[in-house]
Amino acid sequence: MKIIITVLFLVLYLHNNAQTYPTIQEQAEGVAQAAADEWGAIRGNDDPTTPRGAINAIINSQFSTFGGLADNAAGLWNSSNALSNNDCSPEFSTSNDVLMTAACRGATECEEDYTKAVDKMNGARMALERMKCIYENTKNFTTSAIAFGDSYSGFHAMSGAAWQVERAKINKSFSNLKQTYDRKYEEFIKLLKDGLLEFDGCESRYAQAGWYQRYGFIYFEMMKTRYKRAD
Amino acid sequence: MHKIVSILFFILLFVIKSNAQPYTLDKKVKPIELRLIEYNGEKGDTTWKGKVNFTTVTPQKDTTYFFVKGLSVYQPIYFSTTGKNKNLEIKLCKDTWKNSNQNGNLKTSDKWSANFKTEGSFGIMMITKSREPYQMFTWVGKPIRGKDIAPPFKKQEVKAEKKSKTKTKKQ
Repeated sequence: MKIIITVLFLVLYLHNNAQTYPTIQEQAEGVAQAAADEWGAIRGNDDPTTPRGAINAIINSQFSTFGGLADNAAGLWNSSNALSNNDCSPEFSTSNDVLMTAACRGATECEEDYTKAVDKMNGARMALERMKCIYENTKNFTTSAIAFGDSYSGFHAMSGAAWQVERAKINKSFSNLKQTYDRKYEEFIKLLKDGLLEFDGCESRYAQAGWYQRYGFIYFEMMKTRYKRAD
Repeated sequence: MHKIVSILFFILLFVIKSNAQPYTLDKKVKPIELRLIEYNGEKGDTTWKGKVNFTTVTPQKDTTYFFVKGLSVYQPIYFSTTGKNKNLEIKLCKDTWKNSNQNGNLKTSDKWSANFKTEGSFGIMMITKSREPYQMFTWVGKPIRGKDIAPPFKKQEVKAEKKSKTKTKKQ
């Protein structure tokens, strides 16, 4: 009988907690969350004397500050720094030594042909840079977590033993990330080479043969080194 | 006690790592997600199209934790707080709640804002003794595109058209 009552209480407890948790949390914090359907209603009301209109006015004032920050989203991105000093920020500058030539400049005839190749190259550049950032951020986070655990585990023999097990798990997880990085590196670097070779084809058609040997190859070798995992 | 704390630490570490929120050992910290919803611009102007969240908070605790997730390092992010709550302190955190990365307050102005970029998520810590409401506004822009990044080409003028025209004549 005691077991049945205990189980019943446990089921009731879990049921109540599962259902009411978000409500309790939101009420406790006093949060009014703007839902997707609510957003349209807020933006549709321009009368500043109504509560919705007042909110609308605040939102309008937010968007009006954007104009002072940048002309568009890309401009705002370019002028923004990373949130944290440890956060990796994408870097696309290229050393003068490996800059390439491009014969097609604003001529509509060649533009379409070149654009396809450049898009492929840029897609690969962005993918490689983002992957590098994720890897570096995770590496920093893992290093901090391990350093924290190592210093903490010295306080207690049991926690020290438990930490060694968890430490091995963290290292294994990071090792998996390394494997993923290496696999994706091959994929993205191939995409970059495909883009460069396409560009080489464009150059042969509109300007000069042997562009890849003269310029593309040096750039590609630099990019291979830049994104190859060093640790 | 140490064992419990260490188990709690690892549970938090992995749960939080998977949720990509700043981590903490304090089990009382329960950050609330600021859900982003589609924003298609105003009256046909799509310059600032992206995702947005607007939340009004009447604080019932001295410290309230929020987070925004699902961010790409290629998206511009704008966060601002407005209100008459002069005691409000704002902390934006990446890895841990203990080490904030950007700080602000509403002491001298009704508005504090920051624009930045980050991958994954970021945390917002709001500290105030007052129960005066405040608003939080988050905007996340569309990811930049290939044409927005620095090109790897030399600046030079080559008459590509001439060659191509010659080529066409020969044919």
